[in-house]
Amino acid sequence: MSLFDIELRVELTSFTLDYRLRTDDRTVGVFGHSGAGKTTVIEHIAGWRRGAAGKVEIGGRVLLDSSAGVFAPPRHRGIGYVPQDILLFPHWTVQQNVMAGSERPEKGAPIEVDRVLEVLELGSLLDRPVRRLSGGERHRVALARALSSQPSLLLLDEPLSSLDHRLRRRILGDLVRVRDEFHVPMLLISHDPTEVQVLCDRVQRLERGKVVAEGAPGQVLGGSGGADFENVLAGTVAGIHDHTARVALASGHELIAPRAGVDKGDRVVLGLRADDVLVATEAPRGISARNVLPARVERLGEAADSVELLAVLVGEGAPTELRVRITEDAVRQLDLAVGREVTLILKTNSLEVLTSVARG
Amino acid sequence: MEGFNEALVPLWLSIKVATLATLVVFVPGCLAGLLLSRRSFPGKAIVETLFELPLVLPPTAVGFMLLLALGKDGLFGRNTLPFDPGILFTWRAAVLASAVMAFPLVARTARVAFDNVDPRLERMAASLGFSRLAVKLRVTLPIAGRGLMAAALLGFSRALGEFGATALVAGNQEGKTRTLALAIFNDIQEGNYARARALLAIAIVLAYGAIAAVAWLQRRDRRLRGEEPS
Repeated sequence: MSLFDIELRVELTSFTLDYRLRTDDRTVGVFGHSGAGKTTVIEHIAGWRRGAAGKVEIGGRVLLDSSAGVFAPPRHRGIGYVPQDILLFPHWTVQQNVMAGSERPEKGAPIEVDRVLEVLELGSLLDRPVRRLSGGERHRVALARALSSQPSLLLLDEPLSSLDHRLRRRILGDLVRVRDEFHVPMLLISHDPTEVQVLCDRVQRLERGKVVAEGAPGQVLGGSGGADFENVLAGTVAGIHDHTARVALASGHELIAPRAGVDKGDRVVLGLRADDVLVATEAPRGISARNVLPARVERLGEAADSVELLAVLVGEGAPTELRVRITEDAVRQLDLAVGREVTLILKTNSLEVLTSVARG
Repeated sequence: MEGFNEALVPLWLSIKVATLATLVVFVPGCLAGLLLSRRSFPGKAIVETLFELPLVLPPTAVGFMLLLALGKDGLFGRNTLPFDPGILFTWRAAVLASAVMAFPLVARTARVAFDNVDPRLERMAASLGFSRLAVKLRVTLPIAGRGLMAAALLGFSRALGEFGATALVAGNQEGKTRTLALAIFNDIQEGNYARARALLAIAIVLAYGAIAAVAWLQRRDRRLRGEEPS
């Protein structure tokens, strides 16, 4: 049984949608140009549209099984949906909107509404009628409403498409925090490679209703621009020193990254190429690289002409995974195996600030 | 003002009849509007046309139909029903006639009000766990609310002006069924122009108030839906 187990067949006017997703990755991006069938997929999962053949199973719960005649109505699907048109209830305040789903019968992740309001910084807007919100505020309220309903799945349809550049960075930062804080499985539609890269563990490329590529963002989006980073790390700037920023990760580790205009307290998302990580079996001494991190080998996988190694940073906070690419020779010589304790070495300038959000 | 005090009786009767007619027609009118706005079914065009009939038929034709239906041997007559409904030629008949005449306007305005509620908002409410009833009560009705109030006001205005059908089924009995519209007709017939003028002035004030209220509600509604800056 997988977290996502989805098979949908829908006859559309110009093509047949034939969508499949089976994975345990918690954050999945569906990437593709407009008209590829992305929204159709999401709205069949939400139960907003009928007539699909196939099966939708999320975390073992069957929401649709056309062969068995099962169609769970939207109210019993336990899904938090942020559609492209946001759809706030226009006659209610921010608070009423956020609380709208808090009494739903099917609950997934236990999420505290107060914490949602804190993370999305909506505390001061609670009494405001939603028609007096700005575009970015509307997005945050819609996200808060979806989260406060304690969903077992979050569906996001082009969450940043209608926003200007400044707001995109802000909301992208919010989404990263939502992902890291609330651990709700997410299915995200996007045609923006950076967004998918920053947010998703797994990406599918959809073309005319078919999944034509699927895998880690770096593999699938290769050549899409902005998709050069196999590793995306979110953190908070803990301090600034001349041209570098000290970034605290959720794992409890700190990274020294280029300052790139950020300030203390800013939340940042860092990109790191798998090729730019060095692996040592002993902690090095007298080294110029500023980032030396204890880690454990979690997985070893074959890549084209190298080995992709998945390492977990060993620390007190939430485990953080890093993808590392090294040669087969290196794996042999260092005698790397799953479970082996290693040290990862990252140069400051191999880290790139992808997005930053000013505090407050 | 000459004739003004005498005008108060038909005015009061008109307000009573129009208010009751609005109460009678409001729920069926809203349900009809909801049905036409949200459902498609075979024969919808026929139902739509039937609903609109009183708007186009001469009011006397509608009155005559009511007379036939409520007459002794009619569908709702005392020989057909196990009891005597006792409606004809009472103020209740005026209420019924006004309600029937107001129905198309209420249904049509209610339909527009429901058309203006994005069905995707209703789906969103369902996705957040609302029951079907809760979706209608907490989302659809409040958002359509101002439009529905406009429907009620238009229905009230239409009922206030009702003449032809009322004259046929309720008669023109002073103090009993002689509403504002009938009283103006009666006063002109009898040459009582002073009172007719007073009634005319009252009718204009009432009509203006109702139309202004509808326009205000519709402006507020558009603002709520974000089509106009607040």
